Amino acid sequence: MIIRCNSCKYSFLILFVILMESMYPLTPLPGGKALAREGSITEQYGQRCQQLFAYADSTNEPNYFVAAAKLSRKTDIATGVRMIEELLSDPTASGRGMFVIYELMAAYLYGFEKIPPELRRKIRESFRTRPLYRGDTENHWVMYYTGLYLAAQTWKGYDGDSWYTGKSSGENFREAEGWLNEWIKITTTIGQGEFDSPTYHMVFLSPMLVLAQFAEDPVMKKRAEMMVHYLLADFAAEHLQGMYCGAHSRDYPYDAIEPGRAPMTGWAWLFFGQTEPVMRTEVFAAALSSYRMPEIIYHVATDRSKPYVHTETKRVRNIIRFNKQRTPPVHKYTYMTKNFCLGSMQGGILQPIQQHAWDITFVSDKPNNSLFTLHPSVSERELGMFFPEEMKFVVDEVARFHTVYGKEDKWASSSPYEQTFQHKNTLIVLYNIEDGAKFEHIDGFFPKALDERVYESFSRNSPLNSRWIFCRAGDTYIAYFPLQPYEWIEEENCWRLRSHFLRNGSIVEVAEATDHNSFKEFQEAIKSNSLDVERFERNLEVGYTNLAGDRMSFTYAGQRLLNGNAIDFKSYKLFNGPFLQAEIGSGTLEMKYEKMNLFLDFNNP
Amino acid sequence: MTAQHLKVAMPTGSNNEVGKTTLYAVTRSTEKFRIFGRDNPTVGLFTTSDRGKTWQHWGWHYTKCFSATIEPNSDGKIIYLACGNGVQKSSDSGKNWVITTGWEMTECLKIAIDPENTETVYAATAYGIFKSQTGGQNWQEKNRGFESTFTPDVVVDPHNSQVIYAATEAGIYISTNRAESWRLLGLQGKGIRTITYSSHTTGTLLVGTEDDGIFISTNSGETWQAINDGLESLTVYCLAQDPQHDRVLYAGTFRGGVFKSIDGGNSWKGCNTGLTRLDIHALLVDPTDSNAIYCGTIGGGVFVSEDAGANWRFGGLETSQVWDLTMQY
Repeated sequence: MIIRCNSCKYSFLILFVILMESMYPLTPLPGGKALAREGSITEQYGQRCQQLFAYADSTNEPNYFVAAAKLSRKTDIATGVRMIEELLSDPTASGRGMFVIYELMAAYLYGFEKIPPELRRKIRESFRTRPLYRGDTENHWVMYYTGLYLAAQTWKGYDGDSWYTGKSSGENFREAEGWLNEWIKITTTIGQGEFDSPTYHMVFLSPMLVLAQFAEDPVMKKRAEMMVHYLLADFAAEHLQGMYCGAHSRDYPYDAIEPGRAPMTGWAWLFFGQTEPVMRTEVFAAALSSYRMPEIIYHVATDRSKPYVHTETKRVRNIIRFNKQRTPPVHKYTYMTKNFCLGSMQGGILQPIQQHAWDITFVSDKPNNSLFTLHPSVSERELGMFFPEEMKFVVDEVARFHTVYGKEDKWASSSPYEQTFQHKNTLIVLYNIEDGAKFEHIDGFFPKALDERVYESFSRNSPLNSRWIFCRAGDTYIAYFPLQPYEWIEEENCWRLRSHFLRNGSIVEVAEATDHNSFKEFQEAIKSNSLDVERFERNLEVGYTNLAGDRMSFTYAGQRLLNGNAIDFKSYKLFNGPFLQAEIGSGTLEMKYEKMNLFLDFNNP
Repeated sequence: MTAQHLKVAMPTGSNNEVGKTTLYAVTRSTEKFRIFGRDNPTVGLFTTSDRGKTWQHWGWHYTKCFSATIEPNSDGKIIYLACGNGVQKSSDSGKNWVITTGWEMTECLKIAIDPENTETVYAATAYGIFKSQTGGQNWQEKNRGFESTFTPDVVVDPHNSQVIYAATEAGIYISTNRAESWRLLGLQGKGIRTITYSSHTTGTLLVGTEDDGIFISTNSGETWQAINDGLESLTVYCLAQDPQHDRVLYAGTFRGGVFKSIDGGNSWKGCNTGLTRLDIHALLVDPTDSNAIYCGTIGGGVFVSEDAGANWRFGGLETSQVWDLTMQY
């Protein structure tokens, strides 16, 4: 078992642990079928929790959740107390306030009985003397207001002099409650803003689990539990063998090229169990709690017996400059099979810095299970859209924290010059890079883990069907048609496809190996498909008929036509697939799997 | 008094050693910059009463703070900070602080106080203008009429507090009913960074812009004229007017350092001797001494000139991004 606690990125996030059953008996979840009744799935979940607890018992590295585990399970009270005392004295905690506040409250509430009175007083006092920064992203606020809600609930009746905010307990509570309710409402009606992130999804799950565990108000408690269902279901529908697939609002470059090692894989392991036990310590938030995932979500995450299309509507992070619409919609399209997922969002700047607009994620016994392209965009305008700092130097500032942001070879980018059109297993991606953009090339990540990579030299004079690049990754076949000449750059973990043309793009078709007699036969079949790229150079217009016979026509900044019919993003629901259904504005989510179903209604929790 | 000072200070005769002034600096971050303020203990509000030789920190260390405004006639006791967390207020000269805003307000960039009724406070934020009529206890969004709500600056007309000016990314806006509604006043489509109301001439306004240099209006904003002759950078984050000499102006720019005009903006000349950073985000002329000029740099701390900008010396807060300077005198 591997335990990861990426200290450079998440020294602040960390974990927690506890044998909840002893303190908090299992309670049925709202509208859900508790896994506790299900036998083997529950037993396996319990075994994985025990692996987490074993880790908690074995480590002495200060961490609020580990401390909570040691205290509540009474395995090492002295060390748990020492950890909390040490963390309370951390001089950097204020700036990391949004991370600290809910972790501290989790430790306090889980470990309450074993925390000595003097330490309890110190913890209380810290809420008077130590300012805690609220942060500036959606996950920051979920963590911050969860922590403030629980703190204000715990220490009722204190006046403003007793809180770092200068507000009374009641004022703090109402503020936190107000925002949490607003976030739940927005998320379940127009979509999450910081959505489907292989890294950050966990810091929505984690505070919601703590809130569900400790909120005294039964309505808030139920809403939080339902949000955990909601967030897990959102993940489950785009989950494949431990990997968070498709397009993401925020993805770190190293996770984009190795999705099986992203933080959410730890959550997949705990809840779905389909991966090696590569754990993130953050998942202790779940293991400690009395929360039990409804069985239906397990099946949504793991049944890949039939290919399916799943679409979602999310929203762009708040835009403060250069757009009259504060949070425009994001339209996601995901095609899932047993061995691969092809996913995309429509393109353009939909999130700052870490956008991952499309990819193929495939099952393989090798690392680097993804293939995608991007334009490495860097612009003060992009950052100015989302950050209030001065645009002229915000690029340099962001690059200090996200060190790859300004680099030409980065593997995460939100480009205003990229657009996609996907239908099931086929994707067209077009680029129209502005002359003078900082980087005037596109890059493609072709992992070395590919079992085969077959291509001929690109020549403008050669037949179109000779330009295809064919890849085999386990039981997945990939056909990639580059619209412009390119070069291969060999790197440690990939062959980088780089193409230096402003007008650029590709056509991608992916298939299950079992749908073809051989990799060779797949190649020949693809080569016989109809390609129309004559108007690409002039009009950025491409047409392609895939193996299923579906005709896709796509013009950059123009129409997306499927068999002659225009795609209308306005028809997208919040969730639309065989497992999940939700209308825009509904405040509901309906889950279906065979004869099972679960309906979440946030309007009437 | 300059308009800048109208926003902040009245004489106190306090315990200052030099020029009887206290300089307030708001630092946004240091070389250890983190976009959300992590691991960054040297941000927030600092004061000096000896022209930058020594500094004292007040309030939160770990915060994202953009500017400070001192309530007129409060003897320096009432201070507002425009912060990422909202608006923070101190009523005891910075010893204790209250976050006056809820979750509805964030990314606050500038505060302006009605000099006729100091309970009326305006906050310019990344999401528009908010107004409080209760000294910050309650706030209401006041964005009716804006094309764009990104508002980095707000100024109350010192001669008529019904009139409010707001800098937006889509031009300069005016309200004639205390922010209840807004209309475009001019410079449509230009990103306005800063507004200064002349302390010498009624109806004269100066603005610095994101990419178009400096504009002046002498008729309360009805018409505008570019005044960029000699200006080597057209990104102007801050402007200051000599409180004693109406024709003497200073401009702080991106990459160009400080520029000075002695003819009311008709021509500008760089005055950067001794400045080691040329990204200037804050400028202030000591209202009690026209030779004493302060500038806040991006990443280089504070610089002080004691000869009206001819020479600069380092004035402390090394490596800080100094977003705002203001003064109590």
